[in-house]
Amino acid sequence: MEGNRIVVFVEDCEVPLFRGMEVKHALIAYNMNIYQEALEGKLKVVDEWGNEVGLSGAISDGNRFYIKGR
Amino acid sequence: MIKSVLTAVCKKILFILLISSLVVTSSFVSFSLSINNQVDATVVVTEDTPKWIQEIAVFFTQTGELELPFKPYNWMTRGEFIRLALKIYPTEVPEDLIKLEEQARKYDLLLKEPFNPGEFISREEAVTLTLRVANRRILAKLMKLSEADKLLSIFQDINNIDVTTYKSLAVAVKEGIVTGYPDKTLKPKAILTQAEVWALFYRIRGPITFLHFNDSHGRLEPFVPGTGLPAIGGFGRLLTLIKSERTVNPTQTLLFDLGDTLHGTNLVNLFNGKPVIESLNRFGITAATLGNHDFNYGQKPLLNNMMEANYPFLLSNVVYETNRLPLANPYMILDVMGQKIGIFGLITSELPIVTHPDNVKGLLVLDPIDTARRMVTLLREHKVSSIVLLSHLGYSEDVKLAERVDGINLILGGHSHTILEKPALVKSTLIAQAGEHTRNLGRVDMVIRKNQIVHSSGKLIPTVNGIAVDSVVTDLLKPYVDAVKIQMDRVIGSSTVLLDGGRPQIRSRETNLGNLVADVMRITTRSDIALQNGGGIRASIPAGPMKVDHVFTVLPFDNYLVVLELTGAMIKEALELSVSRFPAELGGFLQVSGLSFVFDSRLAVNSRVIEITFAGKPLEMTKTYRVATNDFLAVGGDGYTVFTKGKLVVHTGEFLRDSFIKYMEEVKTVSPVIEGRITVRP
Repeated sequence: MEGNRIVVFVEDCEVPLFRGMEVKHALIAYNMNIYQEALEGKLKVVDEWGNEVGLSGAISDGNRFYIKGR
Repeated sequence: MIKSVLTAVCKKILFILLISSLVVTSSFVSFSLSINNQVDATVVVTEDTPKWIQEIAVFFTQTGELELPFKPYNWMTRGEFIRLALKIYPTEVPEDLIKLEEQARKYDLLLKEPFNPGEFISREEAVTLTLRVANRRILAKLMKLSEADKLLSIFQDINNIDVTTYKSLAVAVKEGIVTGYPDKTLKPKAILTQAEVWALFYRIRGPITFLHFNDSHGRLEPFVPGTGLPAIGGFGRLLTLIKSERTVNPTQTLLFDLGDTLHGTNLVNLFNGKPVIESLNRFGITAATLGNHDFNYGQKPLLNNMMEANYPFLLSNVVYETNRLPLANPYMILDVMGQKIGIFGLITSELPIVTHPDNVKGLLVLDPIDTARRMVTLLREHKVSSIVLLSHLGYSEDVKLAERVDGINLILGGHSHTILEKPALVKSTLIAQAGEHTRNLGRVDMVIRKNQIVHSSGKLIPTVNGIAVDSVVTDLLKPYVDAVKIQMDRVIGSSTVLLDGGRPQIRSRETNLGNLVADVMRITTRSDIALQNGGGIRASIPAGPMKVDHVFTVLPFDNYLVVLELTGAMIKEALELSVSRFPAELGGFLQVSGLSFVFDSRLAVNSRVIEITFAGKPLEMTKTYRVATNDFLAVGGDGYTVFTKGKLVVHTGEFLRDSFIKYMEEVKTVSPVIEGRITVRP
């Protein structure tokens, strides 16, 4: 995409980002409080198949992530 | 009359048969196995059959190699053995005895003359022939007699071994194909039962175990995963698990690292990844692939690390621009007990974006899917029985690849830090990934016959606190851990003035430390402008010598340095947000370099910035500027969504603090002052 921009979805909300960014960036862009809670280990992030992913995990255009309680 | 008698007799016989079959059936048990809905095999054996025989019977029924009825306690003849060995190879199995002998000669499966197919086979003969099926004959030929003596000396009946099978038995002991009896005997002349022969074959044609880990990011030492939680992970625990898992399948266990291993913590960053390689050289790694972060130190340190490793790095989609030669080995073909496995590696096509341009200068990253198709074709030409991809593409890309490229049996993945509790099956490809940071060791057991998976299972084994830390790793890392402490005390330069990073100041006005940090960002990336949030600067540095530890205290976050292209209007919008809460403190208050600006706090929010100067002239609203910042702000952190409308031109892959340390080491002395970059009116 132009300018290395990509779009991922957090809780089905569109989050514009750049290529090379990580799951944590998707959360920062989506909701800083949720990012903070995920950082503290209170929440976890799963991909569209329900697999948990780490906050430093790489992302690709069109990826979908959901927030779950631990 | 005769007819009625015959009918009665027949009925009686049928009744007896029925009853006897019920009696027989009642003393039998059946076992079913169904994996990923691929195979469903049912085997019936007697209830008192030992578990190991039951498992072997189920396994080889699934693979289609064991024909029922299975008579585990019957002696096995040489002829029966040859038939099974040819089937296991696999090759044609003639019914005719003369042709069977010819076929046995062709495959070098005759140890004694004459053939005597009806003679029972001994352990030493069966083991020797099994080694030949496993393509291990050369090992026996190459083994020195002194080594064979040493290997076999633990057995009391060493003198009973025939001279023609002596070295073969030694190889079999070395490779874990035979282990001997608890009374320290091998019983080489003992006649083998069918179950014992199948157990031998299981050692060479049982499931191949793939142990794997990915994205450890320098977590060599155990770490605390959250507040109040016990320490987990680390290479020491990983090695304990690896050693334990190897004992389960000693003859057919392989180990892989899926990249992003060399960089990530002080313990490895300060030594360009050297402790990682030194540690992994003790792990018995089969092969590794490279991740994008493994390029973070530049190409020369990367090549040094690859040279120092005692295992190969496989990467098929990175080549030199000039001659198209590969950066690393594109693939390898491994002989696992006579089964040829083709293995190749792939890295994300985003490599040039997610690391500093200098780190990939002169390199070309080829399309992963096109490359995968080429590698599959090439490996099939080498007649491999299965193909494994070591991937640093990320799980969603692995799924796409499995959907689009046929012929890959297993993808061991990394990059997305995905925790796949069990391998996923996509079309006919298994995909596995083990999360991140040495939290888990992944294990996949797979059986391939005729290029198809006929059995698979997998799991993640967490490196929880209760698992012992292998002292091999602890001892090896100790000098590095000590050196880190010394490194943190290392003087990297000095400042003639106090560098002010006090919270109220750094979050509401220009400070000399804010100026220095922003200058480093701008100069290091050769940008026009740099913008750094005050909240990312956490302390002051006293005047005098500056140590590495000071920099880690001031810049504690793992923030990467990036460069965006932003218009003048976008920069103004960002500056408006920066001063929107003035005079209150704001973590997002921007420290700047390359420009200066004036704002009036009496004016309404979003129209406070009244003057922005760049290179002595007003900033042009429509012109595009190169702006260095950190990845947190670049994605809209602290409310800077305006940055996400820009264009990412460089992702250095380097932490801001590492850039700062390098800068100080270069310039040696700094004396930053407040110079009117941010002016408030009135």
